[in-house]
Amino acid sequence: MANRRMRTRADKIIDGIIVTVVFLVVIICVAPLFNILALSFSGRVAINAGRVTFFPVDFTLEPWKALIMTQSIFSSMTFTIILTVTFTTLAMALTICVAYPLTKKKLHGRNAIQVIFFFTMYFGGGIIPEYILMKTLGLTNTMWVLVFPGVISIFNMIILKSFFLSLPDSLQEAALIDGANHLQILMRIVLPLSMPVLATLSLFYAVGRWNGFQDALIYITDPKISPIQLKLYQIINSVADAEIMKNEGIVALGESELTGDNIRSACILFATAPILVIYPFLQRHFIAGMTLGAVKE
Amino acid sequence: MLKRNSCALRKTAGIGLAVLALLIVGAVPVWAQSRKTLTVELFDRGNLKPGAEPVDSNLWTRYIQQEFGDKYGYDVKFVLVPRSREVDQLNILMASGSAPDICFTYDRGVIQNYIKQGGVLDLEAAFDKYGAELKAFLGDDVLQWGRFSGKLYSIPARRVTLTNQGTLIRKDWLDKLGMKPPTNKAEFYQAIKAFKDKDPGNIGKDKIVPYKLATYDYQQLADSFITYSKITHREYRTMSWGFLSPSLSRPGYIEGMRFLNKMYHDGLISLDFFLDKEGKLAKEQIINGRVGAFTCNVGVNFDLFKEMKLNVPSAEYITVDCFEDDRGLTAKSSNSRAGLQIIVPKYSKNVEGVIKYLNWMSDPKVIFYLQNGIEGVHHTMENGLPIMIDTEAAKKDFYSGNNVDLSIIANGKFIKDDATSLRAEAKRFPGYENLFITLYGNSLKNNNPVLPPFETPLLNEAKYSGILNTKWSEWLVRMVQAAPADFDNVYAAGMKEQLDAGEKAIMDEKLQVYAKEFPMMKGTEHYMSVK
Amino acid sequence: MSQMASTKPSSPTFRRTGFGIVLKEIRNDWILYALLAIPFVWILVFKYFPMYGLIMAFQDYNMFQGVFASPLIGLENFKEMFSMQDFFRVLRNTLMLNFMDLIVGFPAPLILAILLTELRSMAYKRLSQSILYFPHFLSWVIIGGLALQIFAPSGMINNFLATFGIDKVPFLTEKNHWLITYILIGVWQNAGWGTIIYLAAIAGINEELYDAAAIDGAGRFGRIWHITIPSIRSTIIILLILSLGRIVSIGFDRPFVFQNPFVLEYGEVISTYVYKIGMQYARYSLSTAVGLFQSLINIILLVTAEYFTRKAGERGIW
Repeated sequence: MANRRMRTRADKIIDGIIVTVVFLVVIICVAPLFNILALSFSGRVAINAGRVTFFPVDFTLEPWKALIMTQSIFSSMTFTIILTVTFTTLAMALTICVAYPLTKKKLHGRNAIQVIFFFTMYFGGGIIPEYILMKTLGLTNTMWVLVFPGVISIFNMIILKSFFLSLPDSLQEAALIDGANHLQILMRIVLPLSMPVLATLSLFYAVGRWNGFQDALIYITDPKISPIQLKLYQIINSVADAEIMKNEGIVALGESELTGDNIRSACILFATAPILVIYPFLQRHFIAGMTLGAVKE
Repeated sequence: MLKRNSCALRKTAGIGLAVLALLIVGAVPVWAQSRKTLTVELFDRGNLKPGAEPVDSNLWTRYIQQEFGDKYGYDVKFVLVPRSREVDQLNILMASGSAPDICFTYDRGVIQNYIKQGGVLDLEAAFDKYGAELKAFLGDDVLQWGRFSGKLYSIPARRVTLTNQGTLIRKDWLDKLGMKPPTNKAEFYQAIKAFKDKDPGNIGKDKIVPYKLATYDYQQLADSFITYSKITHREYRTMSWGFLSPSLSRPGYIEGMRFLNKMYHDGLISLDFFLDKEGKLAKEQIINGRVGAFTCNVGVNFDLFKEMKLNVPSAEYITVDCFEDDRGLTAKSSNSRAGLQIIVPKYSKNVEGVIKYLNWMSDPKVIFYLQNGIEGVHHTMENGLPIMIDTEAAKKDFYSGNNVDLSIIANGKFIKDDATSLRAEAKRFPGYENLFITLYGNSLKNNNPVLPPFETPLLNEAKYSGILNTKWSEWLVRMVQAAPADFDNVYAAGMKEQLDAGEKAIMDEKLQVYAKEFPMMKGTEHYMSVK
Repeated sequence: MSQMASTKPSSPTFRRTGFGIVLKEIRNDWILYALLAIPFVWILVFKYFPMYGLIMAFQDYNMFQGVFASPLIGLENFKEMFSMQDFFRVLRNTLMLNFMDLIVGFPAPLILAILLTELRSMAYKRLSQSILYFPHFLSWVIIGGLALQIFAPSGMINNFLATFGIDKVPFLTEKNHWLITYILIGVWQNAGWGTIIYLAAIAGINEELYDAAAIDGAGRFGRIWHITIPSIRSTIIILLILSLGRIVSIGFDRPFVFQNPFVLEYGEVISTYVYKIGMQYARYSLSTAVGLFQSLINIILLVTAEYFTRKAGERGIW
């Protein structure tokens, strides 16, 4: 946005400072990434001896080979993608369904409905009643147990509602006078104007689902439908587990060149990659929102 | 279902296609009804090897179905529980009425809690009827841990090798300093002090880890300060004892803590194991030849010696047994023979099936197959000991640990008898078999008697032991890190806090139970006088 | 439909009260109610139905009898809760950690978002954004492992300091150092991701406002201060109220991963405590009571924050 304006000398200095500060922050964020990357290509002896920092030591492809050879990783990835897309679509649809009516101040019962939704942000029944419910509904060990319980985030709903409220009323009122109904207004006016926030919330929902596994840990025991993060969690835990097993008198059979660290590093990169790949496509909508800004009065 | 039917059909030869069709169309439901489903808890350790079959459906589960299920008329189904949150998940399954017929856990407090709430079935009748072989396999010293208020609420697994602790010290460093292996605490202290001061390995003074501790590994040393010569039978029975329930109230224990405090301020020990939850740091230090001495469960860290030798070819550990008490004996607390505990939830309809299943498993052939697989495919025999075959194909079948998880009546690999099992266990560490066996022998030397449990369920123990265990590490840190001048105050404060947080309640309850269960004792007799 | 829309309920010709009018208005807005229908059923089934579990807080809950058959014991669980020394420590820690997160962690994404929008090179901006998000994708378990490698007494930083003969810094083993480490790692993990919401809000700002400001001679900081911040003020306030309303609740993973016996004095918080007494020690009644207490305090704080926001003339979250 600043591109069109003339740049003064002071401007250039400030730009330089900003670029540097952002660069430093980026470096701090990226350092562990390099560590993880280096670990995923390093050998067991070097890792156990603590010699790996930012570059691979005793270069090996074993962890990645092992990862790729684990067929369940790919089916798990496919499942997680399907799950995330389903979840995000439903979640966005339902969140819009709640947020939009609640922006209408004259809606009867609006306050009561708000309180009803809001209350659940703080109060829940606890794990046992929830488990019994899922079991009774026959949802355990299905994809839907990972979809339904969290499909509306009240937090996201509030963000969306407040964005809707910040849109100018005049367009909607004009449409109402022209005879459009609420659904038409929502679809043709409100949503197109809300692209940045819709993209943001979709990202929130998608990433939340992608990264979440606590619910899967409880509700999913079928390895065929275990999300990628659950797999990742198990791989991480099997390292600590090796210690437990010794105490339980169990032989930890089959030592290989792999170690918990390098295989888990490979898993992290593998599991995070899809979201980082998808992000630029969503980013387009942030920019689309920018140009739409001009439509506003 | 279809596959299993046709399989059964093949056995009863001479049945034609028409009958098969009839069976599938008409008789399947009847057939299915006549078979019961037996559900069994199984740990999911999430450590499946690439290309391996699922944990709950593989070579071993098919074997169980064929050899037990089909012969006894059960469909055996496994219910997976993630190992790392085993207790959490078991609690949820129990409370929601969906726990499998066979449940198990290592946590005795959890079991006492279920019993208290009336959620566990008494197995006595079925056990008497169907459990003869199982009884012989486990023995009374194991089974007594399954009795609560005289009822057999639980069947404990048999611990094959007792996971006691022993101490190892660097022989090459001792030799270099011209020191003999320590035979008592004072010499041990001198040895590790000399390691620190003189750096016999030339690795740099700041890199030396004179005495490496891990979570519970200070206990043998600390326990040796207890005044065993004076302890009464009542004290021995009613104060918290044993491996996992440390207690400040044991007479003499304060001196053990003071000794740790001194070692800490001398820079001989560190408490960094509290940060090192996966034991990574400890491994790294041993592998790099930086550790002078360590105490550990027998066999732990032995797998690191090979790599250590690559880094420091001269490094060598020997075992010592030098933490003497006031009687001059190297006393140790030890584990009982009972391992994980199997229970059957009250809404299970399959108590008989449970006992039949466990009884079937106690056949040495079955246990051997489940733990060692097929000769020539998974293992070869050498002097009567199975040596596991180390090929990728064999490893695919034995994803680590799972097989012992299936053979739930034995904690550890059981071969013929305890002595043979121990020799087989030692085979895991080629080149260190003797070290392993000596260490194991040391760890059992001068053991304090393992106490049979009280018959009465200890409700307060179930209620408070979790909280106390969590707080224990906090108290330990405070005592060990306290300024020496301040130590007595810190100790007293910790003691008071521990008593308030539930230990007093536990001890009072135990005193009552003691009076009830040992009416013939005055309580003031020496602890060794009666079991 | 169009004739319905023309009878605007807010039109002054209608009476303000009367049942018939209300019904008519509801009929007019039927689409809005239809939209709410499915979420409403959802919230009843998945959120309200399991709430019977809250009764456990007033029971001596027996897992095998269930909520409906366990004996009621009134406020006994709450009495026990208040009699526990640990409880107040845990409450204090939760407040302390959240409050510090709020002070240090809340402005960080805002500042970062403004810096990012001020970048001239689009390519650089996009690349930076993508990298800044990365820490958000690491689970706390993994971050805990990394932190250990870096901050432990024999970790990367301390080894580095040692080569200059500087004493070890107990980042993770002394409670005050730990507190700072804990908070800064939180900022590290969240700041990048937190920019997204602000960037979306900033993207919605009308660019003409900036041009107008430029014509008025506003400098770089002037434009940020007079255009950017006021334009996204409602977003900032909403996020602030929401975080204030959660000041007594706290995520589980982060404190759980970072706590250790050296720092439990500060590190034990409500979520980890509830987990320990509830899930690990199976004392469901007590843990439900603690959870319920926490929810009540939160909702009181939230309503208070909302009240003051409105009093200050801002739009709250209702």
